[in-house]
Amino acid sequence: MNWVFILFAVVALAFGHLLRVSNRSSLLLGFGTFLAGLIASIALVRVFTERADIVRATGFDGILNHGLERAAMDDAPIIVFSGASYSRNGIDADRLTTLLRARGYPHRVINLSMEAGSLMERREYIELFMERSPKTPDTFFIEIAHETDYKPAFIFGNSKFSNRAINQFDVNATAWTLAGFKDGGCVGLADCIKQIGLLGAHAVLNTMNIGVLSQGEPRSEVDTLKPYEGPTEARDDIPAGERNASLSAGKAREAQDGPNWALSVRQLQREYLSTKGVEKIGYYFPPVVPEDLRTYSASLCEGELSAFTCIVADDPTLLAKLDQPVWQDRTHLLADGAKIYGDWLIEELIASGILGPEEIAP
Amino acid sequence: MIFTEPIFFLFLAFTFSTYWFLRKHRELQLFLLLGASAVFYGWWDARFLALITFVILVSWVTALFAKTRPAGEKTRRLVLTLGIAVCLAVLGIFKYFDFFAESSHAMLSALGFNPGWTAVNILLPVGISFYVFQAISYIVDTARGDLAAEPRISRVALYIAFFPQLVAGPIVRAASFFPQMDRTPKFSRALLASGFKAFLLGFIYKAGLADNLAPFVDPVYNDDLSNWSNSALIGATIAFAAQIYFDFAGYSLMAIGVARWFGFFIPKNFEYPYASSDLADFWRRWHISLSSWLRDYLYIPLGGNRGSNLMTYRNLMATMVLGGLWHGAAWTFVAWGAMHGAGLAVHRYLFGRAGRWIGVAASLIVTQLFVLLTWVPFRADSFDDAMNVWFAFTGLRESGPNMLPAAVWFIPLLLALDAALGRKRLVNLKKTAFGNPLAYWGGLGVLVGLLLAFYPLDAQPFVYFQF
Repeated sequence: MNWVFILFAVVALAFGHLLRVSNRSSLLLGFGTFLAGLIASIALVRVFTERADIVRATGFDGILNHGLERAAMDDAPIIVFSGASYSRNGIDADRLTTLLRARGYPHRVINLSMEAGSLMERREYIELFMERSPKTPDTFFIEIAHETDYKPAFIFGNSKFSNRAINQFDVNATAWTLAGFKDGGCVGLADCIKQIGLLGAHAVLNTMNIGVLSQGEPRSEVDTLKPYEGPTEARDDIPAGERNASLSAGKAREAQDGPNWALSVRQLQREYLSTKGVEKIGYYFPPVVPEDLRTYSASLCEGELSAFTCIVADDPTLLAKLDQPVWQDRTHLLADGAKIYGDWLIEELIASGILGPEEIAP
Repeated sequence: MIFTEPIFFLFLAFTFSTYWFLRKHRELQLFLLLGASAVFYGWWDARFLALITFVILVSWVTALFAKTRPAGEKTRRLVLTLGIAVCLAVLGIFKYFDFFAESSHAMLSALGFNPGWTAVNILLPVGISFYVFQAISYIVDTARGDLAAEPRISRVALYIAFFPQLVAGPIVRAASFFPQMDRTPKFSRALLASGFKAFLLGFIYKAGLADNLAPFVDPVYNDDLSNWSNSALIGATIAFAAQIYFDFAGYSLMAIGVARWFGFFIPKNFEYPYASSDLADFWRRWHISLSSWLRDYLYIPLGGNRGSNLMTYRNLMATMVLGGLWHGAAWTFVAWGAMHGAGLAVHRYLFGRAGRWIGVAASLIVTQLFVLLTWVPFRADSFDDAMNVWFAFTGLRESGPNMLPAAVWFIPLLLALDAALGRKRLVNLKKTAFGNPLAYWGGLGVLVGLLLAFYPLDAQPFVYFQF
């Protein structure tokens, strides 16, 4: 990358000093030639960065590399969990691996989750994982959440114009996100104008490769980042009464499909994973305090995803165990909460039969 | 907002289009620029506006009062002195109070006393060093008769607060700026083109080069230096020499370009200083507006070189030490200034006003090596760190483990290329393909595409903003 910079600096200095506008130039011809030059250099940079796998590095790349490292550790079959911050806080992959092995299952659990991970961003990182993983995962679990189904451009609420935000919106992701806006992903005219405007700006910045060489590094060289950090300090103080009321509120699951765009994305995702050799695909949603969020995911399990293993943390027994100060905030677990959830999740995985028979003698 | 941020382009587009829409109304144009300058400066911190307004008022009142009094009158001299003193006091309080408080505290503590005062952590208003010097320039130029005192405070305000050069120069002389306010500029393609050329080169310098040099400098100088090898310390210093030049020269060029788009001509601030073959020449090429300000308002009033050699050396040292202090409230900057003062004195002693004992090439190497070594205390956080780096140059230091990428050794070539192209040493390209419209527009398109790829997403403030 440093040599690329030196080369660029030479070219830029030469152009900067030598370019001189002629009074004879016609504006229309000039604009056309300018555009041609711009497109040529954008294409050149794009080809170079894709061939050299240079990216504006983000935390998700670190999490990807961590996952790849884990996948290469041994010959064990892999279960991958792909989610957003619910999963980043809730899935302690190393602990789940230990628990599974203690129960006779050789699987290694990998957590491929990043906060604010939208459907599109997670789709990209799932594909990156699949391309680079030394072996095909045995099972893929994909998080289903109201927030990511109904906020296709979730990242705009966290970090507009960041590396992650710009990276996310290539042509394909932009088109899907627009479809998501059409399906209720933006609320009201003002919000839709703002979201579409931001989407357009990010798509343009992505297309123009902005900052990809100044911020870029080979993706494989990005430092690994542990997805699960096991937070121990709460961000919000949830009154015990509210927590109890929300966690004990049971609502019957009603079969429901997600919005069309999310349904389509999940369908295409299953097709992709299947063509790549992933035989088992499941869906899940970690525990949260707000009952309506649990109910949404549970309803997808009854409806759209009824044909798949679908593990939503709305079990009253589990929720009763979580009715204590084990929450970072209303939608994220602390380390103690993740332990409780992990114990429960292992039982659910085994009970679902998705892992197959035990392979290790207890 | 800084010149390389998207918000600045929005601001500039609005201001530019409105300015030329008002082209038949000069006063309105100037008021627009004043308003835009207030918005630009207030964007940093609205509280800063009060202070700059105070400095504007002081300089305006001082010059007007002096105008009403005969030259040489005691009261006139007193008011002029007071006006300049107030401006310097503003600078002193906001920039140097904590420095002097901490330094005197440390000194007295070392002597066994227990002074009761501490630093108060005064917020440093951005650009204060520049606009105070411009205010002083206005007071002195009017007192000397180079310029008539301006009764309209709006014009004085615009001169001091003109947004292209407000926060990091170039320091523009009142005598050259005020006449431009009286002239109504004419919009022309040539004006746009010349402004664009300056802005584009400045943008390349700043966003393309300086910001991308930071990864060679900051990981070393911001870290525990014992972690780094001798070659890394040397390489980081070379990279810093390039970074500060491209950063500051880039800002100056962008300021010049932007000013030109409004019909104002600001003098150049850098003339390829790393091509200079003696130290005096270096200071005629580096931060020209500051060095000429110091020459005209400090060095010459002190006596310049009109007295004995010893007096000349004294004047050089005083000017450069204060010049170093201007850059920052830290002893490392004072040391940098003192080194240059000593270097200029030695240059004067050895070479007189003309002639050299050694050839141009050798002189260039010696000069640039000296300049490089003086950048060390300028960038280092402490004298300990500076000594560490200097020892690295001598090889008398235990080398640490970390190295910089080999590409760092090609950075001097960039400086050489810049100077060669800028001074037209490589080739005179008046009649080359680059003047051809298709080549120009096509080349510009390619350049913009590359600049976008190298654009720093985390916009780095200009290094000289801290001064």
